[in-house]
Amino acid sequence: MSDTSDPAVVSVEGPKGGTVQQDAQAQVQVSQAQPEQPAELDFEELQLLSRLLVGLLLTGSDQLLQIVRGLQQEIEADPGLLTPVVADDETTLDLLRYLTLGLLARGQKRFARGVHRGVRLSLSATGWTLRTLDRWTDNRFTRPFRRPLESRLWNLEQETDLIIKEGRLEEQNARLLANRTVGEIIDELLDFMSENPDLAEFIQELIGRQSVGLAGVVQDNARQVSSTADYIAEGVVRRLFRRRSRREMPPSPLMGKPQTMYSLEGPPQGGDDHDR
Amino acid sequence: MTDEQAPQETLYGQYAGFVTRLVAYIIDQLIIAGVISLVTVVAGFVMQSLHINELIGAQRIAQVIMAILALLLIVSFLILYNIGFWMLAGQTPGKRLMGLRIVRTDGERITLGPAILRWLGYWLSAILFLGYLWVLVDDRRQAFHDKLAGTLVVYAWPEQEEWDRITPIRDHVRRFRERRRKSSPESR
Repeated sequence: MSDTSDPAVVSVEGPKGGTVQQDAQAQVQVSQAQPEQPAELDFEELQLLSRLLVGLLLTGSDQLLQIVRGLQQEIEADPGLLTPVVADDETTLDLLRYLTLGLLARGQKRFARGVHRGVRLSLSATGWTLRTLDRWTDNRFTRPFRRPLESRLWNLEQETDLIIKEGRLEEQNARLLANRTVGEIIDELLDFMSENPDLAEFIQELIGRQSVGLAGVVQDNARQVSSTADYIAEGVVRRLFRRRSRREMPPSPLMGKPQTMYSLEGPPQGGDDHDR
Repeated sequence: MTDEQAPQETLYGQYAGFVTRLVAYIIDQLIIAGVISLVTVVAGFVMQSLHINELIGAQRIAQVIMAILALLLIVSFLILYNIGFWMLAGQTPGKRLMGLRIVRTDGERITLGPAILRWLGYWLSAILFLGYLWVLVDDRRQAFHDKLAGTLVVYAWPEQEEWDRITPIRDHVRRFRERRRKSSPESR
């Protein structure tokens, strides 16, 4: 990770003692563009962090988009997958949901088309206006008024070019920084895992079980713990009120049914108070 | 876990107890509070940008109208959140996280009438929290609002299957922790 042989890359001592690799050219350009600040160190930290964040966002979103695009292409490539299926038990609410989704999809397409048309129109209108203005004002009467305006416009153009260049460099820098930081973290993690084989084994098992997300494990544990706490709390309260502890709960209408969203058949089962 | 009934092999379809329902309720309240705070901040920002505050100024009646409007909006949101989720999904996001579902006593989906009754019953249950605490002693773990609306709250997650799936990982974590504890300097 510490590739100091590259002449375009320099090692910069980070504010917390760490070493941050940065593109030398980017460093020089960016620092030239920044005026001297009284609290330079804090500013530098903030700038580094924001650069890292931008880099992570850009790189991450690129990769995510690439994955999503690939998956979408896979789905579209299989004609059997996108055949509309009408369920027999479709309710009015389902239809309402489909209607909302359809409207949303259509609205998105229309919005994108509208924006595209709007931008194209406004660009051509601006071009036409500028060209016409230029033609009308290019004479000896208006030239004295045009000159100061032209010089200002020239300065503005120069400044804009400079900012764009800076932004381009900043993005490159951010991507480099993010890639190398992520690489560094992965290296650290691998080192740590090689020192702790138990953890490595556990993580491998977790990764191997793709269907079980960590969030799912936490959620299941929380549900299990809370359902146990339900019985404990109930037991304590029943003892406090000197009520006989529960032997069996009345059957619930969903018990013994297939584990689907709703039970669609069957009258109420039981429901009498068994232990009162 | 002493003499009280131990959890059965699967919890699916069993009546949900007080703690799980309380946790689900807290999650829902956090979501509602988050949404209301966000909307308040955005509305405040918009009002400030459009100088609506200056337009209202110190006029008492305008302030009262704004307050009533805000209150109405909050109440409408509360009603929509609860009744909407109950009817569309049979569970609010909090209940979904805790794996709970609301059904009518016959096991069918909750409809508009019982949903409204249930929501109104919330206020009845809130009197000294007696209605909520009733879950602890009721045989079908129904709160007052459940009794009023003829509804039940049940566990609706395929517990056994999930548990089977995660047990090896839990065991692994336990073994890992034990080994770590044994190898730590304090244990020597």
